[in-house]
Amino acid sequence: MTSPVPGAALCQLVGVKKNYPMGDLVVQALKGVSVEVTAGEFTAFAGPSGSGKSTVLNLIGCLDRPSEGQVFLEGRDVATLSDSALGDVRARRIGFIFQSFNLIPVLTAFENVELAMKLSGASEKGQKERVEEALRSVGLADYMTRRPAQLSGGQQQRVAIARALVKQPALIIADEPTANLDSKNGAAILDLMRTMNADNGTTFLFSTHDKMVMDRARRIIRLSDGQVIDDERVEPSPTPVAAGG
Amino acid sequence: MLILSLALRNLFRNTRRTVITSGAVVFGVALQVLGWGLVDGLDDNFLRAVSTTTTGDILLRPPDYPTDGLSYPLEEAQVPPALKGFTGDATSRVLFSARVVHHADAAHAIGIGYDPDGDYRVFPRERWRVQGVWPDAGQAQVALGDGLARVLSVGVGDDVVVQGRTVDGAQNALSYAVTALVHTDNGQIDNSAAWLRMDAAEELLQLSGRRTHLSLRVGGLQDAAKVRDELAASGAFTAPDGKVWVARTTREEASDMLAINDIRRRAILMLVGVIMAIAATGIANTVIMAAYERVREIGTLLALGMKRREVSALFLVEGAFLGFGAGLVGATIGSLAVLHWQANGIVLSDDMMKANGSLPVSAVIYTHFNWAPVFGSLAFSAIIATLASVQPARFASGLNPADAVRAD
Repeated sequence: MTSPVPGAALCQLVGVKKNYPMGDLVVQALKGVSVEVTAGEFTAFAGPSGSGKSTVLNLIGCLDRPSEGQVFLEGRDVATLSDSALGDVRARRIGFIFQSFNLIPVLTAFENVELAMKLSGASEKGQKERVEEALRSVGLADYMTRRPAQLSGGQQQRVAIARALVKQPALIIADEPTANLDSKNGAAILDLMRTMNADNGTTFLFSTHDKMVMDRARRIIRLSDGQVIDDERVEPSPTPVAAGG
Repeated sequence: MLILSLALRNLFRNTRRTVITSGAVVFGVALQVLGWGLVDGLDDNFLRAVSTTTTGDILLRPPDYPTDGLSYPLEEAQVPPALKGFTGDATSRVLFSARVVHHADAAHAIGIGYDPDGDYRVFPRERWRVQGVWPDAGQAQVALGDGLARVLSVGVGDDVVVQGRTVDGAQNALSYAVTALVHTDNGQIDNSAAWLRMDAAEELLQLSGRRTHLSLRVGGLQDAAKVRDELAASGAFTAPDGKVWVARTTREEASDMLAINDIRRRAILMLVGVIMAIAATGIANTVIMAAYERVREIGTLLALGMKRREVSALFLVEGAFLGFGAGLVGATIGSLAVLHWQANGIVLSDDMMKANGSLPVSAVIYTHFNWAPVFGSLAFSAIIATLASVQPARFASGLNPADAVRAD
């Protein structure tokens, strides 16, 4: 697996429009968005509900295709890829962290993380060690055999982070990752992600309207009514201190 | 392996629903295995009943003698073939329409003139229950089937009159002392047979060495057709008058009864088919509910890179596991029941035997365990359940991951 070069263009949206048919009407979720994200960024897409931030992340995350325009990921126009090829890109190059954690309830924490490894097609060799290391890195060394229902919200989100990180993706997409957490756990999760970003150079893209997320982001792209209205780069904040989950 | 592991775990996600859904499959498969075992047992029962009392392994009749087993025209009796070249056991009999009279009571009967030595070799008489003793040579004695004796209120030591027509068509009637009440493995015989030693039958029917039946024991029903064909080819069935006697195996003799059992098998299959169709509806409902409940999870799997065909396979495998698992339970229950009754038998009551008095059935039905319906029903239930999961699988694999990952 190739690692993206820090500072190089990781993904690029060029004149992207996204329309959703709603009965006889067509709703324009994105009205020509052009954005470039470079490797190693810790970027938040901010805006009110319906502004198009989740749609942008869906397109960058290869979960959806644009109605018009181009989406490049590591130089490839992913909009032209087949469903199966998009699945491969998601499996190998993109990690996801969801607002509702989205863990598989019948699998343990270890198995949830291992699932991402298996789907990525990573070699079986050393897989167990990598999964354990990923869980250790998010502070869940003692919770590996627990199922999601036996974990707190913060712990579940940590499992989700470990699941996203374990395959060493080029990009991690976090959709409102703190929305279902209290402020203490939310801050801890964000600090954990900041640490991963700083230590490993993993690119993080968030969708959020949480001030706590925006306070930690180094770039904030604001959307409104399907258009980019502001693209702000902020100075790095001091190294965060991880809090307990 | 990942798909199998996930599918297996998903099955136990809602155990109560899985168990309830499985119920119809369990019942259907158990019914098929048990029903098949019972009908196979009925096959064995018919074959055993006629083989041990009437046919042996091969039954020969004169060329123009009817094979329906309903009429016994004595005028067709012939001197039997000498069975040249046959080294097994054989016995000759004369079957005739008789009437047994006891005081004011009378009943139609099947008269059986038998050769005691040959009968002992061909038929397992030691297994029959005999109250009293078989008639002696040169005596006016008769043995009656215990069912017939019951109808006539006859006991050992009573006198009865046996009426019949001689080979020339003349009516004849002689008085005999009843020395035995016989209970064989064939309810039809027990309810209608009057057993006369051949010398007594010769006197009553004026046979002059003529016989109506020859029963051969050749070492088993399986080889009977082959042996029969070889003997026929060698001319063993040619009588002294040059006519060739008609030889039929026990299975051929019981073909009407076996054909009825085939109808029973088809009826069971149809019933199981209906039950399985109902089960399939339940499985389809369960799997589609599982798909609707797990939309976000399916979206997550797709987001993690699982292919659509793998998602589809996941639901198909879940359906297949559900069907196979339920089928396994049903097959186990059915097999245990079949094996139990194979060892212990199902004893038909006297009333049932009376109701089936005209049929050649034994009072004990031993079910017959057979792997074919077990494997067949297992495969059937797995296939039905898989087919029932096709629509849910299509729904799941067709989800848009972007929408599915955020589903409630």
